[in-house]
Amino acid sequence: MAKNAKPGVDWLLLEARRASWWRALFPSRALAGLRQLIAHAVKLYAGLAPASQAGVLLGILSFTGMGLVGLTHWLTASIIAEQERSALLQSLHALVPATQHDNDMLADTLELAGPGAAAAAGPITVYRARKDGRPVAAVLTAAAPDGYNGTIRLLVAVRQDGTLAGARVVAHKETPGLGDLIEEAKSDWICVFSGRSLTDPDEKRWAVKRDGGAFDQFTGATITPRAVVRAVYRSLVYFRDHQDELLAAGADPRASGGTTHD
Amino acid sequence: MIDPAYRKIAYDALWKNNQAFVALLGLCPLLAVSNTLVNALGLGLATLLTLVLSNLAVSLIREHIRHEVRLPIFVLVIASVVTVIELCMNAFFHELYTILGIFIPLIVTNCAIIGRAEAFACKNPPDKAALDGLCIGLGFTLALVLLGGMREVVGSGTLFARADLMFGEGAGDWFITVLEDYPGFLLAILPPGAFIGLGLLIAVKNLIDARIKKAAKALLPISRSSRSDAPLP
Repeated sequence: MAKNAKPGVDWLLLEARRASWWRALFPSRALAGLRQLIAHAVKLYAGLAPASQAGVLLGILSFTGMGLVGLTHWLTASIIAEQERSALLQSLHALVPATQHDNDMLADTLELAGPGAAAAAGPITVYRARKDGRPVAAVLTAAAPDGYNGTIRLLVAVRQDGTLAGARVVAHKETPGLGDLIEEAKSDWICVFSGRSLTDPDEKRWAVKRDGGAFDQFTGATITPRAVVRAVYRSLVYFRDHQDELLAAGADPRASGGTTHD
Repeated sequence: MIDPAYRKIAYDALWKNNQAFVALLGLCPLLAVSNTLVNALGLGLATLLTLVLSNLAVSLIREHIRHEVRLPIFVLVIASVVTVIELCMNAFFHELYTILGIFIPLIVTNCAIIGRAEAFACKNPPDKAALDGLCIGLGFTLALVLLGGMREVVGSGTLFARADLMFGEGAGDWFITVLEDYPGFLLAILPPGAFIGLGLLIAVKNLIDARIKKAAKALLPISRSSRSDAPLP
Protein backbone atom coordinates (compact mmCIF):
# COMPACT_ATOMS: atom_id res chain seq x y z
CA MET A 1 0.00 0.00 0.00
CA ALA A 2 2.81 2.34 0.91
CA LYS A 3 5.01 1.75 -2.16
CA ASN A 4 4.49 5.23 -3.53
CA ALA A 5 4.65 7.31 -0.41
CA LYS A 6 7.10 9.78 -1.98
CA PRO A 7 4.63 11.96 -3.93
CA GLY A 8 2.52 12.17 -0.78
CA VAL A 9 5.40 13.54 1.22
CA ASP A 10 6.35 15.97 -1.55
CA TRP A 11 2.80 17.25 -1.69
CA LEU A 12 2.73 17.64 2.08
CA LEU A 13 5.95 19.65 2.02
CA LEU A 14 4.66 21.83 -0.81
CA GLU A 15 1.49 22.54 1.11
CA ALA A 16 3.37 23.19 4.30
CA ARG A 17 5.80 25.57 2.60
CA ARG A 18 2.89 27.73 1.49
CA ALA A 19 1.80 28.18 5.10
CA SER A 20 3.41 31.16 6.76
CA TRP A 21 4.00 29.43 10.10
CA TRP A 22 6.12 26.85 8.34
CA ARG A 23 8.22 29.54 6.68
CA ALA A 24 8.69 31.29 10.00
CA LEU A 25 9.64 28.03 11.69
CA PHE A 26 12.11 26.82 9.08
CA PRO A 27 14.18 29.40 7.19
CA SER A 28 14.70 28.23 3.62
CA ARG A 29 18.13 26.68 4.07
CA ALA A 30 17.10 24.56 7.07
CA LEU A 31 14.03 23.61 5.10
CA ALA A 32 16.09 22.33 2.20
CA GLY A 33 18.11 20.20 4.59
CA LEU A 34 15.00 18.81 6.21
CA ARG A 35 13.42 18.11 2.85
CA GLN A 36 16.46 16.20 1.74
CA LEU A 37 16.46 14.24 4.97
CA ILE A 38 12.82 13.26 4.58
CA ALA A 39 13.26 12.35 0.91
CA HIS A 40 16.23 10.19 1.89
CA ALA A 41 14.23 8.50 4.64
CA VAL A 42 11.33 7.80 2.28
CA LYS A 43 13.71 6.29 -0.29
CA LEU A 44 15.23 4.11 2.40
CA TYR A 45 11.77 3.01 3.52
CA ALA A 46 10.66 2.15 -0.02
CA GLY A 47 13.75 -0.04 -0.44
CA LEU A 48 12.99 -2.15 2.63
CA ALA A 49 11.52 -5.65 2.60
CA PRO A 50 7.72 -5.64 3.28
CA ALA A 51 8.17 -7.12 6.74
CA SER A 52 10.68 -4.45 7.68
CA GLN A 53 8.37 -1.77 6.28
CA ALA A 54 5.63 -3.04 8.59
CA GLY A 55 8.03 -2.90 11.53
CA VAL A 56 9.16 0.64 10.73
CA LEU A 57 5.54 1.74 10.29
CA LEU A 58 4.56 0.27 13.65
CA GLY A 59 7.57 1.91 15.25
CA ILE A 60 6.73 5.34 13.85
CA LEU A 61 3.11 5.03 14.95
CA SER A 62 4.11 3.81 18.41
CA PHE A 63 6.29 6.85 18.90
CA THR A 64 3.55 9.15 17.59
CA GLY A 65 1.05 7.61 20.01
CA MET A 66 3.53 7.80 22.85
CA GLY A 67 4.23 11.42 22.01
CA LEU A 68 0.51 12.28 22.04
CA VAL A 69 -0.09 10.54 25.35
CA GLY A 70 3.06 12.07 26.83
CA LEU A 71 2.04 15.53 25.71
CA THR A 72 -1.45 15.14 27.19
CA HIS A 73 0.02 13.80 30.42
CA TRP A 74 2.40 16.75 30.58
CA LEU A 75 -0.45 19.18 30.00
CA THR A 76 -2.92 17.62 32.45
CA ALA A 77 -0.65 16.32 35.24
CA SER A 78 -0.84 19.47 37.36
CA ILE A 79 -4.63 19.78 36.89
CA ILE A 80 -5.15 16.13 37.89
CA ALA A 81 -2.95 16.54 40.97
CA GLU A 82 -4.93 19.64 41.93
CA GLN A 83 -8.25 17.81 41.40
CA GLU A 84 -7.15 14.89 43.56
CA ARG A 85 -5.92 17.28 46.20
CA SER A 86 -9.18 19.22 46.31
CA ALA A 87 -11.25 15.99 46.32
CA LEU A 88 -9.27 14.74 49.32
CA LEU A 89 -9.48 18.10 51.06
CA GLN A 90 -13.23 18.13 50.49
CA SER A 91 -13.68 14.78 52.20
CA LEU A 92 -11.41 15.87 55.05
CA HIS A 93 -13.41 19.06 55.49
CA ALA A 94 -16.63 17.05 55.69
CA LEU A 95 -15.20 15.56 58.88
CA VAL A 96 -13.22 18.48 60.28
CA PRO A 97 -14.84 21.71 59.04
CA ALA A 98 -12.46 24.29 57.65
CA THR A 99 -13.48 26.71 60.44
CA GLN A 100 -12.14 24.39 63.12
CA HIS A 101 -8.54 24.35 62.00
CA ASP A 102 -6.06 26.73 60.42
CA ASN A 103 -3.28 24.47 59.16
CA ASP A 104 -2.83 22.78 55.81
CA MET A 105 -4.06 19.27 56.64
CA LEU A 106 -2.67 17.83 53.43
CA ALA A 107 0.83 18.94 54.37
CA ASP A 108 0.60 17.98 58.05
CA THR A 109 0.62 14.22 57.66
CA LEU A 110 2.16 11.17 59.24
CA GLU A 111 2.88 7.76 57.72
CA LEU A 112 2.49 5.06 60.36
CA ALA A 113 2.50 1.29 60.38
CA GLY A 114 -1.11 0.19 60.76
CA PRO A 115 -2.44 -1.75 63.77
CA GLY A 116 -1.88 -5.50 64.01
CA ALA A 117 -2.61 -7.44 60.88
CA ALA A 118 -3.40 -4.27 58.98
CA ALA A 119 0.31 -3.40 59.10
CA ALA A 120 0.80 -5.75 56.18
CA ALA A 121 -1.50 -3.62 54.07
CA GLY A 122 1.03 -0.81 54.09
CA PRO A 123 1.37 2.31 56.20
CA ILE A 124 -1.70 4.32 57.09
CA THR A 125 -1.71 8.03 56.47
CA VAL A 126 -2.82 10.39 59.21
CA TYR A 127 -3.92 13.94 58.42
CA ARG A 128 -3.76 16.29 61.37
CA ALA A 129 -5.85 19.35 62.06
CA ARG A 130 -4.51 22.10 64.30
CA LYS A 131 -5.69 25.49 65.36
CA ASP A 132 -3.17 28.04 66.64
CA GLY A 133 -0.63 25.21 66.76
CA ARG A 134 -2.75 23.10 69.14
CA PRO A 135 -3.98 19.70 67.90
CA VAL A 136 -7.71 19.58 67.09
CA ALA A 137 -8.20 16.23 65.45
CA ALA A 138 -6.48 13.45 63.53
CA VAL A 139 -7.99 11.88 60.44
CA LEU A 140 -6.88 8.27 59.99
CA THR A 141 -7.12 6.34 56.76
CA ALA A 142 -8.60 3.02 57.83
CA ALA A 143 -9.29 -0.16 55.92
CA ALA A 144 -11.92 -2.80 56.60
CA PRO A 145 -10.59 -5.92 54.88
CA ASP A 146 -13.66 -7.94 55.93
CA GLY A 147 -16.23 -6.23 53.70
CA TYR A 148 -18.73 -8.32 51.74
CA ASN A 149 -16.82 -7.71 48.53
CA GLY A 150 -13.25 -6.69 49.23
CA THR A 151 -11.68 -3.98 51.29
CA ILE A 152 -13.66 -0.92 52.36
CA ARG A 153 -11.51 2.19 52.70
CA LEU A 154 -12.51 4.78 55.28
CA LEU A 155 -11.49 8.12 56.69
CA VAL A 156 -11.99 8.18 60.46
CA ALA A 157 -11.65 11.54 62.22
CA VAL A 158 -10.90 11.45 65.94
CA ARG A 159 -10.94 14.64 67.98
CA GLN A 160 -8.11 15.32 70.36
CA ASP A 161 -10.34 14.24 73.33
CA GLY A 162 -10.92 10.79 71.82
CA THR A 163 -14.45 11.34 70.47
CA LEU A 164 -15.25 10.70 66.84
CA ALA A 165 -15.69 13.71 64.60
CA GLY A 166 -17.09 11.29 62.05
CA ALA A 167 -16.26 8.67 59.49
CA ARG A 168 -16.63 8.50 55.71
CA VAL A 169 -16.27 5.69 53.19
CA VAL A 170 -13.78 6.61 50.49
CA ALA A 171 -13.79 3.47 48.37
CA HIS A 172 -15.68 0.19 48.40
CA LYS A 173 -17.04 -2.53 46.13
CA GLU A 174 -20.13 -3.45 48.17
CA THR A 175 -23.40 -4.48 46.51
CA PRO A 176 -25.28 -1.52 45.01
CA GLY A 177 -28.59 -0.98 46.74
CA LEU A 178 -27.65 -3.09 49.76
CA GLY A 179 -24.14 -2.59 51.06
CA ASP A 180 -23.58 0.78 49.45
CA LEU A 181 -25.79 2.45 52.04
CA ILE A 182 -22.53 3.03 53.91
CA GLU A 183 -21.88 5.84 51.40
CA GLU A 184 -22.87 9.23 52.68
CA ALA A 185 -24.51 10.00 49.32
CA LYS A 186 -26.84 7.00 49.67
CA SER A 187 -27.90 7.14 53.33
CA ASP A 188 -27.02 8.93 56.56
CA TRP A 189 -26.08 5.69 58.33
CA ILE A 190 -22.38 6.61 58.43
CA CYS A 191 -23.25 9.69 60.52
CA VAL A 192 -24.14 7.55 63.58
CA PHE A 193 -20.48 7.58 64.51
CA SER A 194 -20.26 11.31 65.13
CA GLY A 195 -19.64 12.05 68.80
CA ARG A 196 -19.12 8.39 69.76
CA SER A 197 -16.02 7.25 71.60
CA LEU A 198 -14.50 4.12 73.11
CA THR A 199 -16.74 4.54 76.18
CA ASP A 200 -19.88 5.45 74.23
CA PRO A 201 -21.03 2.77 73.74
CA ASP A 202 -18.77 0.49 75.78
CA GLU A 203 -16.57 -2.12 74.19
CA LYS A 204 -19.16 -4.93 74.02
CA ARG A 205 -21.72 -2.74 72.30
CA TRP A 206 -19.30 -1.62 69.54
CA ALA A 207 -21.01 -3.94 67.07
CA VAL A 208 -24.10 -4.11 64.88
CA LYS A 209 -27.43 -4.93 66.59
CA ARG A 210 -27.43 -8.45 65.16
CA ASP A 211 -24.28 -9.07 67.23
CA GLY A 212 -25.80 -7.45 70.32
CA GLY A 213 -24.26 -4.05 69.62
CA ALA A 214 -25.53 -0.49 69.38
CA PHE A 215 -25.36 0.12 65.63
CA ASP A 216 -28.04 -0.63 63.02
CA GLN A 217 -27.35 -3.07 60.23
CA PHE A 218 -29.16 -2.84 56.90
CA THR A 219 -31.99 -5.08 55.80
CA GLY A 220 -30.30 -7.74 53.73
CA ALA A 221 -26.78 -6.58 54.52
CA THR A 222 -25.10 -7.21 57.85
CA ILE A 223 -21.57 -8.00 56.79
CA THR A 224 -20.88 -4.56 55.33
CA PRO A 225 -21.91 -2.45 58.37
CA ARG A 226 -20.24 -4.98 60.66
CA ALA A 227 -16.96 -4.47 58.83
CA VAL A 228 -17.29 -0.70 59.00
CA VAL A 229 -18.16 -0.67 62.72
CA ARG A 230 -15.15 -2.88 63.45
CA ALA A 231 -12.82 -0.71 61.37
CA VAL A 232 -13.98 2.46 63.13
CA TYR A 233 -13.54 0.76 66.50
CA ARG A 234 -10.02 -0.36 65.59
CA SER A 235 -9.16 3.19 64.58
CA LEU A 236 -10.38 4.48 67.96
CA VAL A 237 -8.26 1.91 69.80
CA TYR A 238 -5.31 2.79 67.63
CA PHE A 239 -5.80 6.46 68.40
CA ARG A 240 -5.94 5.74 72.15
CA ASP A 241 -2.72 3.72 72.01
CA HIS A 242 -0.78 6.15 69.84
CA GLN A 243 -2.33 9.44 70.88
CA ASP A 244 0.92 11.21 71.70
CA GLU A 245 2.55 10.16 68.49
CA LEU A 246 -0.49 11.06 66.40
CA LEU A 247 -0.95 14.52 67.81
CA ALA A 248 2.72 15.35 68.35
CA ALA A 249 3.25 18.91 67.34
CA GLY A 250 5.69 19.48 64.54
CA ALA A 251 7.17 22.98 64.71
CA ASP A 252 7.37 22.91 60.98
CA PRO A 253 4.96 20.46 59.38
CA ARG A 254 7.44 19.66 56.66
CA ALA A 255 10.21 18.93 59.16
CA SER A 256 8.00 16.61 61.24
CA GLY A 257 8.30 13.85 58.71
CA GLY A 258 5.17 15.11 57.05
CA THR A 259 4.88 14.21 53.45
CA THR A 260 2.46 15.81 51.11
CA HIS A 261 -0.06 13.37 49.85
CA ASP A 262 0.68 11.68 46.60
CA MET B 1 -29.98 18.07 0.09
CA ILE B 2 -27.81 15.70 2.06
CA ASP B 3 -25.69 13.28 0.07
CA PRO B 4 -27.55 9.93 0.13
CA ALA B 5 -24.26 8.19 0.93
CA TYR B 6 -24.07 10.18 4.16
CA ARG B 7 -27.70 9.41 4.92
CA LYS B 8 -27.06 5.70 4.45
CA ILE B 9 -24.09 5.87 6.84
CA ALA B 10 -26.26 7.57 9.46
CA TYR B 11 -29.18 5.16 9.03
CA ASP B 12 -26.94 2.08 9.15
CA ALA B 13 -25.02 3.29 12.19
CA LEU B 14 -27.94 4.56 14.22
CA TRP B 15 -30.59 1.97 13.47
CA LYS B 16 -30.00 -0.85 11.00
CA ASN B 17 -26.61 -1.87 12.37
CA ASN B 18 -26.75 -0.30 15.84
CA GLN B 19 -23.67 -1.70 17.60
CA ALA B 20 -25.51 -2.36 20.86
CA PHE B 21 -28.92 -3.58 19.66
CA VAL B 22 -28.02 -5.40 16.45
CA ALA B 23 -24.31 -6.16 16.42
CA LEU B 24 -24.36 -6.74 20.21
CA LEU B 25 -20.83 -5.34 20.50
CA GLY B 26 -19.37 -3.53 23.48
CA LEU B 27 -21.73 -5.20 25.92
CA CYS B 28 -19.29 -5.21 28.83
CA PRO B 29 -19.34 -1.43 29.41
CA LEU B 30 -22.95 -1.23 28.22
CA LEU B 31 -24.17 -3.59 30.91
CA ALA B 32 -21.83 -2.51 33.68
CA VAL B 33 -22.15 1.26 33.57
CA SER B 34 -25.81 1.69 32.63
CA ASN B 35 -27.10 1.73 36.22
CA THR B 36 -27.83 5.47 36.11
CA LEU B 37 -28.53 7.84 33.26
CA VAL B 38 -25.60 10.15 34.03
CA ASN B 39 -23.07 7.29 34.18
CA ALA B 40 -24.43 5.95 30.91
CA LEU B 41 -24.22 9.34 29.24
CA GLY B 42 -20.66 9.87 30.50
CA LEU B 43 -19.39 6.58 29.13
CA GLY B 44 -21.44 6.99 25.94
CA LEU B 45 -19.90 10.37 25.14
CA ALA B 46 -16.38 9.13 25.92
CA THR B 47 -16.95 6.21 23.54
CA LEU B 48 -18.38 8.54 20.90
CA LEU B 49 -15.33 10.79 21.05
CA THR B 50 -13.04 7.77 20.84
CA LEU B 51 -14.91 6.47 17.79
CA VAL B 52 -14.75 9.79 15.93
CA LEU B 53 -11.05 10.34 16.63
CA SER B 54 -9.94 6.76 15.97
CA ASN B 55 -11.99 6.51 12.76
CA LEU B 56 -10.56 9.83 11.62
CA ALA B 57 -6.97 8.84 12.44
CA VAL B 58 -7.28 5.42 10.80
CA SER B 59 -8.84 6.95 7.71
CA LEU B 60 -6.09 9.57 7.42
CA ILE B 61 -3.31 6.98 7.45
CA ARG B 62 -5.23 4.30 5.53
CA GLU B 63 -3.03 4.64 2.41
CA HIS B 64 0.06 3.83 4.41
CA ILE B 65 -1.23 0.97 6.52
CA ARG B 66 0.26 -2.34 5.48
CA HIS B 67 -2.44 -4.96 5.45
CA GLU B 68 -0.49 -7.48 7.57
CA VAL B 69 -0.07 -5.13 10.52
CA ARG B 70 -3.39 -3.31 10.32
CA LEU B 71 -4.77 -4.77 13.56
CA PRO B 72 -1.81 -3.77 15.76
CA ILE B 73 -1.98 -0.33 14.14
CA PHE B 74 -5.69 0.01 14.95
CA VAL B 75 -5.04 -1.05 18.53
CA LEU B 76 -2.21 1.48 18.78
CA VAL B 77 -4.37 4.30 17.45
CA ILE B 78 -7.35 3.43 19.65
CA ALA B 79 -5.23 2.95 22.78
CA SER B 80 -3.53 6.32 22.26
CA VAL B 81 -6.86 8.09 21.74
CA VAL B 82 -8.44 6.45 24.78
CA THR B 83 -5.49 7.25 27.03
CA VAL B 84 -5.60 10.90 25.96
CA ILE B 85 -9.36 11.02 26.66
CA GLU B 86 -8.85 9.27 30.01
CA LEU B 87 -6.27 11.83 31.10
CA CYS B 88 -8.52 14.70 30.02
CA MET B 89 -11.50 13.25 31.88
CA ASN B 90 -9.41 12.77 34.99
CA ALA B 91 -8.40 16.41 34.75
CA PHE B 92 -11.74 18.02 33.91
CA PHE B 93 -14.47 15.60 35.10
CA HIS B 94 -12.63 14.16 38.08
CA GLU B 95 -15.62 12.86 40.06
CA LEU B 96 -17.29 11.24 37.06
CA TYR B 97 -13.93 9.73 36.19
CA THR B 98 -13.64 8.14 39.64
CA ILE B 99 -17.17 6.70 39.30
CA LEU B 100 -16.70 5.29 35.79
CA GLY B 101 -13.32 4.01 36.95
CA ILE B 102 -11.93 1.08 35.01
CA PHE B 103 -14.52 1.39 32.23
CA ILE B 104 -12.81 4.41 30.68
CA PRO B 105 -9.52 2.60 29.94
CA LEU B 106 -11.59 -0.45 28.99
CA ILE B 107 -13.05 1.51 26.04
CA VAL B 108 -9.92 0.25 24.26
CA THR B 109 -11.36 -3.25 24.32
CA ASN B 110 -14.79 -2.22 23.02
CA CYS B 111 -14.93 -4.33 19.87
CA ALA B 112 -17.32 -1.86 18.25
CA ILE B 113 -14.42 0.59 17.86
CA ILE B 114 -11.85 -1.71 16.28
CA GLY B 115 -14.75 -3.16 14.27
CA ARG B 116 -15.48 0.23 12.70
CA ALA B 117 -11.78 0.85 12.03
CA GLU B 118 -11.52 -2.47 10.20
CA ALA B 119 -14.88 -2.48 8.43
CA PHE B 120 -15.25 1.18 7.55
CA ALA B 121 -12.55 3.70 8.41
CA CYS B 122 -9.67 2.00 6.61
CA LYS B 123 -11.66 1.89 3.37
CA ASN B 124 -13.26 5.34 3.35
CA PRO B 125 -12.16 9.00 3.19
CA PRO B 126 -11.85 10.98 6.43
CA ASP B 127 -15.18 12.82 6.18
CA LYS B 128 -17.19 9.62 5.81
CA ALA B 129 -15.13 7.83 8.46
CA ALA B 130 -15.66 10.64 10.96
CA LEU B 131 -19.40 10.70 10.23
CA ASP B 132 -19.55 6.94 10.67
CA GLY B 133 -17.72 7.25 14.00
CA LEU B 134 -20.10 9.99 15.11
CA CYS B 135 -23.23 8.04 14.18
CA ILE B 136 -22.01 4.72 15.57
CA GLY B 137 -21.08 6.59 18.75
CA LEU B 138 -24.48 8.27 18.88
CA GLY B 139 -26.21 4.92 18.38
CA PHE B 140 -24.17 3.39 21.19
CA THR B 141 -24.78 6.39 23.46
CA LEU B 142 -28.49 6.20 22.68
CA ALA B 143 -28.57 2.54 23.70
CA LEU B 144 -26.62 3.29 26.88
CA VAL B 145 -28.83 6.24 27.80
CA LEU B 146 -32.08 4.33 27.14
CA LEU B 147 -30.89 1.41 29.23
CA GLY B 148 -29.46 3.68 31.93
CA GLY B 149 -32.62 5.77 32.16
CA MET B 150 -34.79 2.66 32.28
CA ARG B 151 -32.72 1.05 35.02
CA GLU B 152 -32.56 4.26 37.04
CA VAL B 153 -36.34 4.81 36.94
CA VAL B 154 -37.18 1.19 37.71
CA GLY B 155 -34.34 0.71 40.17
CA SER B 156 -34.40 3.89 42.21
CA GLY B 157 -37.36 5.90 40.90
CA THR B 158 -35.22 8.87 39.83
CA LEU B 159 -33.71 10.37 36.70
CA PHE B 160 -30.62 12.55 36.23
CA ALA B 161 -29.35 11.78 39.74
CA ARG B 162 -25.92 13.40 40.20
CA ALA B 163 -26.06 15.30 36.94
CA ASP B 164 -23.68 17.79 38.57
CA LEU B 165 -20.87 15.26 38.03
CA MET B 166 -21.01 16.02 34.36
CA PHE B 167 -22.58 19.39 33.83
CA GLY B 168 -21.21 21.34 36.80
CA GLU B 169 -22.75 22.60 40.02
CA GLY B 170 -25.89 24.10 38.48
CA ALA B 171 -27.08 20.76 37.15
CA GLY B 172 -27.63 19.39 40.66
CA ASP B 173 -31.28 20.49 40.40
CA TRP B 174 -31.94 18.52 37.20
CA PHE B 175 -32.64 15.64 39.53
CA ILE B 176 -36.16 14.33 38.84
CA THR B 177 -38.00 12.11 41.27
CA VAL B 178 -40.16 10.13 38.88
CA LEU B 179 -41.84 7.98 41.49
CA GLU B 180 -42.48 9.48 44.94
CA ASP B 181 -41.64 7.32 47.98
CA TYR B 182 -40.38 4.59 45.70
CA PRO B 183 -38.85 1.75 47.71
CA GLY B 184 -36.44 0.87 44.92
CA PHE B 185 -36.20 -2.29 42.87
CA LEU B 186 -32.78 -3.77 43.41
CA LEU B 187 -32.87 -6.20 40.49
CA ALA B 188 -32.86 -3.34 38.00
CA ILE B 189 -29.66 -1.85 39.43
CA LEU B 190 -27.81 -5.15 39.71
CA PRO B 191 -26.26 -6.82 36.63
CA PRO B 192 -29.29 -9.08 35.89
CA GLY B 193 -31.37 -5.92 35.44
CA ALA B 194 -28.97 -4.85 32.70
CA PHE B 195 -29.41 -8.11 30.79
CA ILE B 196 -33.19 -8.07 31.17
CA GLY B 197 -33.35 -4.39 30.19
CA LEU B 198 -31.17 -4.89 27.12
CA GLY B 199 -33.28 -7.88 26.11
CA LEU B 200 -36.45 -5.81 26.35
CA LEU B 201 -34.93 -2.96 24.33
CA ILE B 202 -33.80 -5.36 21.59
CA ALA B 203 -37.28 -6.89 21.57
CA VAL B 204 -38.84 -3.44 21.12
CA LYS B 205 -36.44 -2.67 18.27
CA ASN B 206 -37.24 -5.96 16.52
CA LEU B 207 -40.95 -5.31 17.02
CA ILE B 208 -40.65 -1.93 15.30
CA ASP B 209 -38.64 -3.49 12.46
CA ALA B 210 -41.29 -6.20 12.08
CA ARG B 211 -44.06 -3.57 11.93
CA ILE B 212 -42.18 -1.67 9.24
CA LYS B 213 -41.71 -4.86 7.24
CA LYS B 214 -45.38 -5.74 7.61
CA ALA B 215 -46.44 -2.29 6.46
CA ALA B 216 -44.18 -2.65 3.45
CA LYS B 217 -45.63 -6.08 2.70
CA ALA B 218 -49.16 -4.76 2.98
CA LEU B 219 -48.37 -2.57 0.00
CA LEU B 220 -46.79 -5.39 -1.92
CA PRO B 221 -49.82 -7.66 -2.68
CA ILE B 222 -51.44 -4.88 -4.68
CA SER B 223 -48.54 -4.71 -7.06
CA ARG B 224 -48.38 -8.50 -7.15
CA SER B 225 -52.05 -8.95 -7.92
CA SER B 226 -51.93 -6.28 -10.57
CA ARG B 227 -49.07 -8.15 -12.12
CA SER B 228 -50.96 -11.48 -12.00
CA ASP B 229 -53.83 -9.82 -13.84
CA ALA B 230 -51.58 -9.17 -16.72
CA PRO B 231 -51.75 -11.83 -19.43
CA LEU B 232 -48.95 -14.34 -19.16
CA PRO B 233 -46.67 -14.47 -22.12
